[in-house]
Formats: sequence, C-alpha cells, structure tokens
Amino acid sequence: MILEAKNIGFRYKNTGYILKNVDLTISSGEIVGLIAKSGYGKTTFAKIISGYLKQSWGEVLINGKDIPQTGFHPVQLIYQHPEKSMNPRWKMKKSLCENGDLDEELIDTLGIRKTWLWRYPNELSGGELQRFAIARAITKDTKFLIADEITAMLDGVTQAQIWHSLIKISQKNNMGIIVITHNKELANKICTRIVKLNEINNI
Amino acid sequence: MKKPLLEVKNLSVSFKMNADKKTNNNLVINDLSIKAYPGEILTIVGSSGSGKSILAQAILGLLPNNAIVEGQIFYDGMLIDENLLSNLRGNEIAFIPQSISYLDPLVKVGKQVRNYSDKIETIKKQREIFKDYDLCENAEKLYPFQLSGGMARRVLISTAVMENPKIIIADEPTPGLDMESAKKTMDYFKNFAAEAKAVILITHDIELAINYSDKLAIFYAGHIVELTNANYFKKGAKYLRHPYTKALYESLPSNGFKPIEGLQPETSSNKGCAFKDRCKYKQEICDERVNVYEYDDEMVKCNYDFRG
Repeated sequence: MILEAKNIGFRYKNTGYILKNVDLTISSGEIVGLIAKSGYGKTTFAKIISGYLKQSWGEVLINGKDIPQTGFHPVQLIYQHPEKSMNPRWKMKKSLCENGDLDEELIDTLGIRKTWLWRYPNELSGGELQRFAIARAITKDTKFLIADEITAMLDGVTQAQIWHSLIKISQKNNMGIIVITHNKELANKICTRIVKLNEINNI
Repeated sequence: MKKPLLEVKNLSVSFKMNADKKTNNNLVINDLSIKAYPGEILTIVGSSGSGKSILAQAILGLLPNNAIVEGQIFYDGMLIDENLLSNLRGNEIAFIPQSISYLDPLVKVGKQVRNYSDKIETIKKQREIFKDYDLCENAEKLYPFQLSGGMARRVLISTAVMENPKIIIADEPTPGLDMESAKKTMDYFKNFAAEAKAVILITHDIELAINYSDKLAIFYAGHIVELTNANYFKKGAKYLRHPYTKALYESLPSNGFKPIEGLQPETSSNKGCAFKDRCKYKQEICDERVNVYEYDDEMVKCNYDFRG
C-alpha cells in the first residue's frame, strides 16, 4: 500500500504559504522520519495527510485513489499534546473505545493499566495519556500512523518500550509510520528513511 | 555552608480518586525531600507518572482540591504558607508549565506574556524577548491556536523570562522545540542560575539537559531513588548507583535504546523498594525494606550500591 501526498500547498488567509508543492510518498511497513525546525509546518502537513485539515492545493492518495470521506480514516494522527486530544468530560474507556472494541492485547503492549480506564484525563500523567492516544489510533484498519512528537513527554524507559512495541505492530500489521521528532538520535535509531521537510517544501 | 533557596521537606501528596472509592488515597509523592541551591540547575528526571509534575504543582500550590498534601516547603528559610505563596508565585518563583493549554485561548499571546500590561517599556521588553526566541513580529498578535507546538512552548518560556524571579521551575520546557531553540532555553537557565538563582528543571530530554545541569534527581514511583552529580550521568552507567538510573541510562537512543520489562507500581508504597518488581538484582530483603545511603551531595535509595 502506498500513501502519496502530491503537490500539497497550504496557507491561512492573509498569511504567506506554510507548505508549497510538497511531495512525499511512503509505503506500508516503512518508518519515515520527518524533520524540520519548529514552526516549519510539520504538524500542518501531518494534519493534512490524516484528513484533519483541508489542503489549499494538491491531493492525498492511497494506492492512487482518493481517501473516502466517510468511515475509519486509514491514516491516523497522534497529536503532540495528548491532554488536548482527549475529551475532558469522558472517562478514558469512552475515549479509547471511539475506535471500536477494546483491544486487550494492545493495551497490555502499551502498558495501560485497566484501572486507568475509569479515570478522567486530568487524573493521568502526560505519559499515561499519550499511551491512550496511541492505543486509540491503532486498529486493524490503520494503514499509516503519523506520530507527531509522541514520546517527547515520556521517560527513556517508556519511550524505548513504546517504540519497540510500535515497530513490532508496524511489522505485524504492515503499517507505515511517519515519525515527527526533534530527537535525531531517536530518528536514526527507529527510522528506515529520514526526510527533511524544508528540502521538499518549496516556499 | 550554602543555604538552599528552596527546600522541600518530607512532602507527601495523595489524591482522592473519583473512580476507585475503596482505595481512597492514591499516594503519588512519598515522604520526599529535596533542596534547590542558588547557582545550580537541579534537574529532575525519571519515570512518567512518578510525581515530577505533581512536585512542581505542590510547590506552587496549584494542585486540585482532591489532593492531600503533607510536609513542609521553605523558601529562603521561611516556611511557605498560603499568604507567602501568593506573594512568591509569579514574582519570586516563576513557573513554566508542561502543558501549552495553560495559555488562555481567548487572549493574544503578546498580551498574556506582558501580563495584560500596556506600558511602553513592558511592550518593548516583550518584543525583545520574542525576537530573542525567534518569534516573528506578528506572533504577539496571534491567539494560541494559531501557533505551532514549538512556538507555543517558546511563548510559555517568554512569560518566565519577562519576570525577574529568584527561582524558575520549568516543567518540560523543551518538547517540540528544535535543537537551536532548546539550547537557547537551556543557555537562558544556565545564565539565570549563574546570578545566584535556582532552577528546578523537570525533563525527559536527559541528553540535552545533562550538559547544563549540576545535580540530577531521579524519580521513581513517588520516591527519589538517586541524587547524583550530573557529571556521573555523562560519564556512563557504571558511575550510577541505582538499578533504575542505570536502566534509564541504557534506554536512551544514544546508549542502546534498551527497554526494561514491566510497569511502575500504580501507587507509591513504603513496603520495601519501589523498583523491586523490575529489578534484576532483587534480593529477599528488598521486599521488606530499603536502605538509604547518603554521601556529600549524593543519595541512593537501594539496599546495594552498584557504582563501579
């Protein structure tokens, strides 16, 4: 399976371009690092390919076809700020089950405790919340995962645990991952390929 | 002898949980003591959910109503009570919060950083700081949602730089920042501490922080398991005393990226060692009690000393 971002452009009203003529292709099973300075449009690009933001120009295709506008989106984005991606009035179980039934094996792999399921987001630490955000994004229908600085708020041991599980899941489900990170050491360790956004962004 | 600028003595924090009413106090910080000296950067690292942010919030009195706090906190020798704290907070003690949702979503960020002041010199200062942190001229007129993650982070740092505090408590100030901005922030802390002020830095980015820190406190399950000199962490695992600290060292992408099995215990306990269930050196005694060894500047909470 191939995910293609073709000729992507984006601008807000009255501001200059954030993205212009950006092309990126990634295949299933690949783990691609996307690197650029802060404020250079990494998250904007991530939101476009995962369908959260409509690009001003260009198209996002899977196997050469448009992504259907209804149903489960095959490209799932995990946000940088887990505290902003959970409904504060829902218990964790409800947020997690937005993606379907509870996958017990997955929540074990990610180190989520059963008791956390009955808590509200403000009763969990940043790192604990992020595991829920990751678990919510992964289903059998997730073909590509966009990981936007997902382990920056986790300790080294947990970070290593989570990336080892994600790499395993990626191999098992043949899922492609785009890793947005500022940590070069981490990118070198886990990525099969590294792309610098400023080199493919023609602004 | 140097006097600490901030001292936390026998602090315990527990929460009454909404969900599990039967186990009604969830202990997250367990009889913890720590000192921050002027001229030093004290860096707190350790497991996610081990109580690092809770410690910062406890010092600043920002914990929610269901928190039960015991213990004492001293500022420059004075016991902090509610009155003193409301004078210190934002003046003598500045806080850089972990979550960018601390920004008011309905107020332009320039105004927030100026603390709603429209004085010409305040505006000038804010603009200088924004420029220093690579925030474009236009940025002060933006609302938080219009900023990228890294930009919002730099705005939060700017709020602390605006004031003239004696202590900065920074809870994860660098995620989402590129290397250049992250180093600039750390340089700012370094220069700040050099003026006989104190920095308490909570971070997971040890590789960055280690080069700027003086002391390192390693947190695990509500305890400080090791207090060490930052240099030892730079030198390598064999200079570290606690098995968790060693595991943390070896888990870093540049040091092997090796995870260890298992999870941190859910609530902090006093029965034996906090790390025993994941420790490969565990002995029978570790179930019952744990020894604390203190050296000049160092401390380890383990029945054995693994340095060397």
